[in-house]
Amino acid sequence: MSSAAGWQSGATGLVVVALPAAGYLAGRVRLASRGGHWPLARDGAFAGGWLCVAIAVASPLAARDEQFPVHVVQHILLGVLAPVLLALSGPVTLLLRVSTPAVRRFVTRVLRSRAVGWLSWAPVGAVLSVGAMYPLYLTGIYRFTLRHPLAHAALHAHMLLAGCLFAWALVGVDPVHNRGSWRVRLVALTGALAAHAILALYLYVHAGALAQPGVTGTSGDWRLGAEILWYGGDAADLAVIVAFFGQWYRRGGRELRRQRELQAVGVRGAASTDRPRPYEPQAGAGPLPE
Amino acid sequence: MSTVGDSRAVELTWRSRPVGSGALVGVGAAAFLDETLFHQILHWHHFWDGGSQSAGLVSDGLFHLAGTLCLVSGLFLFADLRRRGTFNRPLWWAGFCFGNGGFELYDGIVQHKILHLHQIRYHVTLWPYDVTWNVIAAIILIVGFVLYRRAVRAPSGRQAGDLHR
Repeated sequence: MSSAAGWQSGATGLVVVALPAAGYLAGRVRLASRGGHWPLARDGAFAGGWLCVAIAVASPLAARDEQFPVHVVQHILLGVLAPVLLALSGPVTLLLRVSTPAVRRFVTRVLRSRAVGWLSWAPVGAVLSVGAMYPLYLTGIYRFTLRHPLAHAALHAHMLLAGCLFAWALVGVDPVHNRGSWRVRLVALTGALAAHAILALYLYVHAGALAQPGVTGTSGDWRLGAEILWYGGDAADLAVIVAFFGQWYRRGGRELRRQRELQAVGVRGAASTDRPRPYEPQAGAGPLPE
Repeated sequence: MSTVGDSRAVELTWRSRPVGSGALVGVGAAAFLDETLFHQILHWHHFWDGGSQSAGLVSDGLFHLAGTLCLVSGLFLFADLRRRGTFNRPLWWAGFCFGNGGFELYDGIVQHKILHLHQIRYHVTLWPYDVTWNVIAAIILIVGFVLYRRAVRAPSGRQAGDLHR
């Protein structure tokens, strides 16, 4: 990649990185000025996710992303870690809490639209984010993105956006309409993580056939990239899995407290009549903002 | 709550939840041990030693992931049982043995011997390793069965399993 293109990607990176941070900060300041409570963990998650995006698109790393191992590091940061952390930070909830009623109505209408509902179903996110990696690396698409700066930028946008779709469906704290039950999401998560690991193995084993020296890198580059995909995928897997089951556990805890409160005030059969399976926390949409 | 179907569901839940949680942690612990001890510390085998059969690729990828998934989900289920007061220690350990021994037996027989994904160790006489591995796995499974029988027969276990207290 030429230095001009590298600089350009730095400039767009600045816009992509600076604008969301400014928006989040403005929302936080507004909420704080009203005395509204916002968990510190969400600020931390946003800062972490934002840092991942910044490192992936605006650091010196980004200028070297024509090298396959660097590209894979970018994929882990932009396509996995950043989306999970951003989903945990709940920026849409923040927006809904600080915006005017008109904006709130508009955002709610968009979130409740059929298209968003369809896209936010966890298996769709899995296919768009992890599934899309198969044609990307196993056909000529990756090579194409190396030659065309616009396609290259589009690839990065796709990584982040598709990753966000999936992460919001899996662990998002925002109200996600039609994300799927716990069971559907667990199946989508398992399938996506397995597909990710299997692709890493496939790239490792077939590095010699897939790599094109001088174009997409040497077979050594691809083998190293595949190992980064494998071990980096591990670290990311652990983060997603802990977040997923952690949310299941917390939701179950709220449910349990509610049951115990009902039992304490003497509502007989509260645990069994309205909730036939006390172990299964309610599936479906996320918590609605207060 | 008083119908036959409900009481059977409670009975099943009482047994299956601790066993399931233990089994998940057992599988996760076996996979974790294999990964850290044999791959990372001893370097006896690498994560990928085979050729390029796709069955091997899929199996290895799946079982690699299963380790993390099982360990984390099993521990959260364990915490869930504790806070609900429905944790049954012998049953949980029985499940742990089922998961741990079962996974090692699967690894030792299917992955090593049938799919030939990897061997336990290279450039040594292999059969003592194989026999040791599979015998240990079988012993763990038998311990699991003994624990399960005892836990199910123990009258105190039933009280601990009462869901609605």
